[in-house]
Amino acid sequence: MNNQIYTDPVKLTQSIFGKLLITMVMLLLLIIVIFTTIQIQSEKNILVMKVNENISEMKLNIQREGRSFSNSLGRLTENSIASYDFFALFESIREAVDLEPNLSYAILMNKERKALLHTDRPDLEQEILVKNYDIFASQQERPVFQEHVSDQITYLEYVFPIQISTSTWGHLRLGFSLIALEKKIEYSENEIKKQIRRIVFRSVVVAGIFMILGTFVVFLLSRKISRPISVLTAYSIELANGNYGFKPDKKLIGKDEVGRLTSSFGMMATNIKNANDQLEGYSHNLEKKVKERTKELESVNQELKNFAYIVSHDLKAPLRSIGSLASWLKTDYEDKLDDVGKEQLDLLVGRVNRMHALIGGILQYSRVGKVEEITARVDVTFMLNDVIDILNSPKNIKISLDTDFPTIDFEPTRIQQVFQNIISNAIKYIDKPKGLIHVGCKSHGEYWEFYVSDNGPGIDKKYHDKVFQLFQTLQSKDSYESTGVGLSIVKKIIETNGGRISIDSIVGKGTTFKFLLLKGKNDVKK
Amino acid sequence: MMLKNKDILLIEDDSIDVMSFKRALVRLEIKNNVRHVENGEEALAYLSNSENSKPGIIFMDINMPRMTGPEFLKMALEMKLIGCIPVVVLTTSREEKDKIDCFHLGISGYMIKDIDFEDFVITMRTIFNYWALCESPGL
Repeated sequence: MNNQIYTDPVKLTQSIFGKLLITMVMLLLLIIVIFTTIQIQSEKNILVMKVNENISEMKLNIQREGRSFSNSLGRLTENSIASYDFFALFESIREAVDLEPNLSYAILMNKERKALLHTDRPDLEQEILVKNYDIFASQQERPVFQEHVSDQITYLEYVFPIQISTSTWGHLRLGFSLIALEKKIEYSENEIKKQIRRIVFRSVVVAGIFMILGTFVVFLLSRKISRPISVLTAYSIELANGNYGFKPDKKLIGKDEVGRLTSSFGMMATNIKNANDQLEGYSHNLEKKVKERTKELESVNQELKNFAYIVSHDLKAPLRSIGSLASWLKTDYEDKLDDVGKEQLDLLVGRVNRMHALIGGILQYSRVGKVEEITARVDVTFMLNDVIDILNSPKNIKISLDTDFPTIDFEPTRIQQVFQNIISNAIKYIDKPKGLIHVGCKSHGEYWEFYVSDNGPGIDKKYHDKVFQLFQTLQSKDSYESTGVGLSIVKKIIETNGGRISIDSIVGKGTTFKFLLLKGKNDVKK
Repeated sequence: MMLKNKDILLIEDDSIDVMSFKRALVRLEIKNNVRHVENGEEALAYLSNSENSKPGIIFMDINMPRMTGPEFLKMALEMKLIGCIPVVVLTTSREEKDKIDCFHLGISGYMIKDIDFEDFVITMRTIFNYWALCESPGL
């Protein structure tokens, strides 16, 4: 789980406000660009359409004008041809060409396409005209318009067939130059371009204004939307830091979903705070109680220690007096006592001794885990050899150390007590002519596992728990000098230091005591 | 010699222990007078009284009514009543704390009262043999 609280300011591009702002501005920009493009395109289309209309109207005008002019000129020509008055006809046609600004040329050609008059190219007069449009014109039976390009100039030509007594004599062709029209078209196109430039400029300005206004609105909107979230965020950070008293400005919260979320968040915080306070109260109470209990325990512990001391001194003193008195009775009144009396006095002294041992056992047992001993480095091999020396076992019992032993950190007298009690028990109870006691150790995970095995009488499984209980012995107390304290102390020492002890035994064959001791950090296995 | 014919001061509240002590001396054929007081207060009074001769050795118990052994020892040292007199503690207590307290007060020996009278006699013999041989300053 990530417990980090983000308190540093959120980067603009990562904040909700920033994201909103950027997205909305982008959207606005896109819309404005699309709309502006469509606007420009449609205005351009309208303009082009208008110009085209204009042009076609102009063309129609020219055609109308040309037709009426040509008709009158055509009649004149027919009449003149009928009366063979060619000279006057040519004059009037030339005059018309000179006078009419739109009329560029006039051609009069007979059926064989021989040009009788050519105002534009007098050099072609009396020649047969061979161009495509000349051929086209010669084939016409009715007045018709044709467009053709000659010397890069577009001409609108009116072809007028001249009828003499129902047969076509020839054709009068009047060419109207479209230069003016083209100029007009060119002018219009320029005008359109100018117009479009104006429109584009205007659209861009409008779009810019819209953009600025839009951005401003979007900014306000984004802030309006994101501010409650920012407030919520700040609020949650304060809460996460444990500042439950923090209350956000109500005006900034609003009444929308986020506002409600913030309010319920606040409610939750209040609940948490209350729960926390309650918990704190509980824990304070608990602490107080623990302190009280600890104090009680301490005083009980102290009482126990005092008790042990009282037992040690005050119970022992009269016991010792009884013992002394009994032995004095025996010596002072030796001649007056018979054998039975003497034996009873001996028994009395024996019981006094046993009680003395019991008291000593209680004291030892109660001291384990209460009186703090100083932990020291204990070389177990060394210590075991010491124990074997102290126990001074009979010659028929052989104690062998099977393995190497570690050097551990332990209370020296306690670890010695453990081995001494177990080994001395083994020595005490061995019933074979050749006693064998083995001691060993191996590493067992986080524990050292020690064992002490003997070839003694063994312990029945049903007594395995009993031997560790205080004052419990399996033999009668008279037959063996035993108080039933030794193994209880062993168990207590091992368990106080986080270990376990167990018994493996076959009756008649022997017993193995196994115990685990927690390894220390500095333990060294040889 | 340290003891010669000087008195022995025994500070002990248990009368049987006193008997035991005296019997042990009889057994050891020690003829010195035994001056017996029952607690620390009486011991202080005894030592302060110039009519009483200075004892050659003091045996004291630890747990006694009114004033314990260590309390008496502390007072006596402050009042300069001990001087060069060896003080031997005779007690049933095997408590480490008791031993440390007493040795810090400059005792000369710490003996456990054995349960068995014969063992006690042996202990006493050792103590007296030692102090009988010990040279005292020539005061």
